[in-house]
Amino acid sequence: MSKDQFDAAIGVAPPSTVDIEAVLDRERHRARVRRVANPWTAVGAGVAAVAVGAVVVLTPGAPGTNVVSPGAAGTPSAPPSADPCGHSPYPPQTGAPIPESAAVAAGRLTTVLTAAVRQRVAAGTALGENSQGQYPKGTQHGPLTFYHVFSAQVSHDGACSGGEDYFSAAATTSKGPRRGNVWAVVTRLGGNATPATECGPSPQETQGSCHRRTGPHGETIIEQTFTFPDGPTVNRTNVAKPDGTGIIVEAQNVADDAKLGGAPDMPSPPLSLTQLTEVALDPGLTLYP
Amino acid sequence: MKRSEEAGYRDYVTARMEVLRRTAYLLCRDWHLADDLVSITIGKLYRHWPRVRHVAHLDAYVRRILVRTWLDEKARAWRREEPAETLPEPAVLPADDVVERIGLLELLDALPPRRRAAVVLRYYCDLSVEETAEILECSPGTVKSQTARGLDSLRALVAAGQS
Repeated sequence: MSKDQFDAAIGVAPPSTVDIEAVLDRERHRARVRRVANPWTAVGAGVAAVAVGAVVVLTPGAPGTNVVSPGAAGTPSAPPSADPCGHSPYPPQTGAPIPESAAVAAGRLTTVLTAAVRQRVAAGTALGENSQGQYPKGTQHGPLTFYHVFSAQVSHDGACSGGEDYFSAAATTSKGPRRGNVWAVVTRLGGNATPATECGPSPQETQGSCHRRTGPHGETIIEQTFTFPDGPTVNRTNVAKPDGTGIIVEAQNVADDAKLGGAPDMPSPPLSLTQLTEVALDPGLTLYP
Repeated sequence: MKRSEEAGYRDYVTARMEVLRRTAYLLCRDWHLADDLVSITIGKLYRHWPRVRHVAHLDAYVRRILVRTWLDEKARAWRREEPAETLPEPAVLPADDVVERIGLLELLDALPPRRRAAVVLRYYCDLSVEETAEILECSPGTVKSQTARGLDSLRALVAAGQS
């Protein structure tokens, strides 16, 4: 029995339906949510970008929101597991189910975030579409327009993937030649996209600082900034609100994504840490209005 | 991932796409599922690309992801059920060469999943016993026995068909 016999038996393969670009889009999005929500998993890569982001994760009643941890899926060293989705590496969801439909919540959050950002960016700054605002593939959402990210939880090869359930929004900022981006996540506390509540080390190969404090209404605030070598700076604020809402807002001084490499497109991110925290603390930016 | 790393990933996946699809097809005998398996495989590869892109045996690493993904799919309960309300119409008899090649695939399809994987890895991917054992996470002795039983089964099926 030889390879040629097998090839002859297979015959001519039909046209491929494997979409490499779709796979790239999906994995880029997954990687960004994971490294922002869990910065200690980030692997430093190289360049600067201005990104202000917010992610809202909603997992009403879900048993757990798992994302494949680095080095797990398909890795030769990964130990086999009977039920990989039964052991989430992330804290359990603690926030109550949201009272609105996903569409209503997305629309309301979009209004709040857009107003908060416009009030704080430099005068004359335009907000445009950002590649991170495409979900699912081929569907581009407007600047700072929240969209609901959802995927069923499945296990593959001893690892757990999917289980995403959150809102995300992004925009590219531009003022003349200066470009950056803003990105946000809003979520129920717990799960894979929950904001950090303790300072961790800066991503590998970056230099930065982190400060933890308590907000005026008992919010836990983690303010972090870090700069890639000869590259962009990332400002990021994590806020855990007492009502069960988790918010991550990020700004980078590159138009696309700092992880992709390249030189900064402006001297500093379009929003400072103080401004990002003000945005995150906006009373309207909540899942429980 | 940096743009340069993504470019390398895209080049690698594009270059290996055909052989990955054909290997997946030998395992599952369904082109749609084969493409799904390849999509899952290259997604997993993307997550580890910065770390694994320079490893000496990258092809073996990717084959392992593919085979493990397929074995995992086979373990899912819903895969075991294929309900159909009506039986398909008998096909028009194909030409002899088609019978021959379909015969080989059907014989392969009759093997249990791990035994089939062992035969495909050993004889289609041309891997050694040790390399096959590493992918299947078993001992070389188990690979030898699985492969031998697989070949015995194929021979028996061929003999039964001829008689």
